[in-house]
Amino acid sequence: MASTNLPSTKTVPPLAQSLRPLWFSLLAGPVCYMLYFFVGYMLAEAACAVNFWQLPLLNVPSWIWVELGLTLLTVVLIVLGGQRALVEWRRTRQQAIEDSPTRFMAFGGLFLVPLFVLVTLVTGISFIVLQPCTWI
Amino acid sequence: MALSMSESALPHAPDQGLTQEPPAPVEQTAEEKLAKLWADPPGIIGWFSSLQNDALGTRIMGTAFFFFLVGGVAALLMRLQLAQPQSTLIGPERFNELFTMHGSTMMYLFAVPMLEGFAIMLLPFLLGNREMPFPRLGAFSLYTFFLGGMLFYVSYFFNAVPDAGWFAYVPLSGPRYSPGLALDFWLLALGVAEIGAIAAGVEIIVAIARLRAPGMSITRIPIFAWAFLVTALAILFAFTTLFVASLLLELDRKFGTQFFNPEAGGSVLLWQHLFWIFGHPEVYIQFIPATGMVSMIVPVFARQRMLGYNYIVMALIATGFMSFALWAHHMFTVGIPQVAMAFFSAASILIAIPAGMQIFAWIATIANGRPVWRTPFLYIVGFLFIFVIGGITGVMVGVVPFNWQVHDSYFVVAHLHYVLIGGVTFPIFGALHYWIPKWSGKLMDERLGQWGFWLMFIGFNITFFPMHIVGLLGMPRRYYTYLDGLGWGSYNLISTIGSFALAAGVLVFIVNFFYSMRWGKAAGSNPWGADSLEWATTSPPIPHGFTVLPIVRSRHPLWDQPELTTGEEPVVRLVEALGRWPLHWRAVLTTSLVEAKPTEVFRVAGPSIWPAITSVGVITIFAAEIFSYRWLVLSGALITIGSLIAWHWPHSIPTTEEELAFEREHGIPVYPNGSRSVARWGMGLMILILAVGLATIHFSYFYLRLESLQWPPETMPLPGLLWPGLALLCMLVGAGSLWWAQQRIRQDDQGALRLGLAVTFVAGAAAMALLYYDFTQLAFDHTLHAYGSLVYTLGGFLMMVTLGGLLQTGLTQVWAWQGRYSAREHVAVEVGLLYWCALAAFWAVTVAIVYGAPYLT
Repeated sequence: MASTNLPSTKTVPPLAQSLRPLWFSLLAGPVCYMLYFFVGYMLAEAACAVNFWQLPLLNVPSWIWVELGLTLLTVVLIVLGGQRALVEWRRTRQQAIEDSPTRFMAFGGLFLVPLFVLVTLVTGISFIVLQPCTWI
Repeated sequence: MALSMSESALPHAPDQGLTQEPPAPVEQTAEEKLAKLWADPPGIIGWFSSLQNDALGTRIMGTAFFFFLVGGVAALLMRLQLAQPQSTLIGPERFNELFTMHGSTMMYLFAVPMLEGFAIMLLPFLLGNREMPFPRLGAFSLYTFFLGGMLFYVSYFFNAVPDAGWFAYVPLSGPRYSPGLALDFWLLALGVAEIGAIAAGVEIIVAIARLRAPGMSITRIPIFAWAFLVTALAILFAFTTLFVASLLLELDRKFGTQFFNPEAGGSVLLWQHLFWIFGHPEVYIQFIPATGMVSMIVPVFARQRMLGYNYIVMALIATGFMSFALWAHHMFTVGIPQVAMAFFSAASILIAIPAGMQIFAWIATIANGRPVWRTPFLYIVGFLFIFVIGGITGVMVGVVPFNWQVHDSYFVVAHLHYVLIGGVTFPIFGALHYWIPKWSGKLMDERLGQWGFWLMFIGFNITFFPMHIVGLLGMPRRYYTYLDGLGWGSYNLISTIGSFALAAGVLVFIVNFFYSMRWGKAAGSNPWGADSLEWATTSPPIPHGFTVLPIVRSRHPLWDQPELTTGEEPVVRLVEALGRWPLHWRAVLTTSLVEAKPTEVFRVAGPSIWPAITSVGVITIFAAEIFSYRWLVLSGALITIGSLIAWHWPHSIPTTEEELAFEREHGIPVYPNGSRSVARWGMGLMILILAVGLATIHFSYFYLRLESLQWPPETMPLPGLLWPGLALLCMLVGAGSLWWAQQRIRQDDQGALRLGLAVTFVAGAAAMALLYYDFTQLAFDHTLHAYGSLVYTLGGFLMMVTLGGLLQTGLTQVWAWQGRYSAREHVAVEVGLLYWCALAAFWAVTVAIVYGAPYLT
């Protein structure tokens, strides 16, 4: 059996001093993305209904700037979560992940950050290439 | 009792730990006392009062399986009709009813309840504890689900069978095009079943969060439990949204509101949004727990530890969140802005990443193992084969242009059945074969099991694979017949033949079940040589699950731990003491969220008839509303409130000197009158449910506002701010007063507690009165325009939840006068404060949106 399959029955190492940064690192990706998703979607709907959002700024409708700003903000927040996860991951490198909730949560952050950055960016690209008020 | 190799139903049992014994009873008399304490009362009343998780779980599963059979018969009738072109076996109206009842039954009355039944049945054993946290809520869930399902089918007796599909799109389901009772049955009967699903969701979340065995930290939670945790959270969001949406549509149908009427500011697309905000996560609500079952069964039969545990857990979390970002891919053809479609298309395609990771983890585990091809495993391999096809076609329909081509065709029917039968029903059947020996003590017959599997597997593919082709050829779904000469006939005939083979497989399973229950071999405690804790109990399990709670030090405790009761010294002493010390009440241990360190010993609720009576009250409300018997609705409400009070009436048990000594010795609080942490979690989740319900109405408000050229319309004056503002102030005073009362009771100040509660009650009542007065001053009613409908509905929501707060505060006041609270125990005050803080927030947000936002237009 591979070494990764060795049974682990060690005592749980002490948790990180505060769990808040770990929860942030774990949930930053999914939570920020979901908020971005709902706000961005409602804004896209609003862009067609409220003239204000169509006002041009540097020849680009203002709603697009807002959406791109939201995209950037979301990516930054998610990456901040990832940064925190990376710190904990490095700090706990001597611990087995099965025995260490801290390392497990840090792993979760590192796993979820790239996934949700990807989803956010793929969604954000649509603001550049698609028109909001074109119905098909 | 040691599990010898001869008792194992599997050859090639894994190398280590398989002769794991259940923990030996510490003392025979203690075990007997515990068994007596946890046993259900006898007789018919006792049967309805039963709270044992295995009894409730099996009843929920049995009811769900019954509905599965009924829904399956509807499917067979449809297949008979479609076997040949221009068939007249079933007319168009009856066909509409059949596909509506089939879809609704399978989605609302089979899959979700079946999975929740599994969870309630298994979780206490799997997590190494004695009971679910809210056993009475579990009983309530069972009876509401059962009664809701039955009410749904009562529609046949009134010739008012729902016929607008399992999604009930408006305007077809609205008052103009469905004026009879049929859609009221759909909305209200299923609404009751949804309440049951939500209640079970709360129970499941708290169990997994706080009722795990000591040592079962978040790194060691079985994947089954992780999957149910994600699912139960999704249930709270998705089912609550559907429930509120159903109520809004019922208000349109019965009370003249205009939420979905475009002629008066409403929108038919609003219904589609609300429905699919529920409807798409619903698929994952079924799929995610099914993957949890797969992740439990694969390692046992592959004889290999699950590879990629960490990745699977994170994939489950990612899938749970992303499932709420896909809903509008069901609406690509209805006319939504391009850029909005991009949101949903991106998520629809990228969700394949976490789903795919799980598939690769299972395949890798099997490839690295020494598979034992027994019936449960066959179903899992069948699942892998079928689900991969369903997943790939899922990515295809996530691509907008392809979606436009196949929308509402049989291609989609094929896709959804590959996902839902392959991805959900096959794992459920595998899980039934796997866990029935645990709760029955009998092994299922292997030969019949394999016959059943092959019939189902072959029958399924013969039924549904041709639908891909006939869909691409252009055959639309939900049509009761088709013309000859279109090239669809032979495919449909093949599908019909396959459907009967599939049904024969289900029949063989039923025969196998009854045969095995009568003549099956004894299962022993761990017939599969499995690794998880439920196999450490006897089969069937003793009423209290574990006499001595296990201490977990591995993800595979039965494979890795030579014995389950060793660990850190204080924890060992604690679990042994709990085994020796049966108390005079049902004691359950709570543990911390992350590390699973022991935090409390508390008394879990005992048998009670009141949950069943509460369910009767709820069903009375909804059934009477179908027929608009308002006096009966009121009676149902009184029954519900009365039985809820009786249900929650505290049976105070003073803390004894022996319990205080236990506290001192083990450094852990003992709460004979209920757990603080469990109560807080329960209240927190209840607040979450209400918040989701309110957010659903707020979403409707903003959606309709964005769709309207003018909001509010010119004919409707802007609402005044004075009275709602004062009402909000009252709510803030109420919450503040309760906060003060809680601070004082911590000093054992009984008088201040009573005063604080009284002020809170008066403030809440004043807020309701002020809002009611404001309603009487409004120059419009709820029928004129969707804006008015929303104003009154949001106000009504606030009044309802505040009424609940008043009821809770009033009861707390009564109990305070009875002297039930002390500095040490005042859980009702603590959770009451949480509720009032939430109420204040609900009022603040709603007043700002309804009364403040129109001035910003």
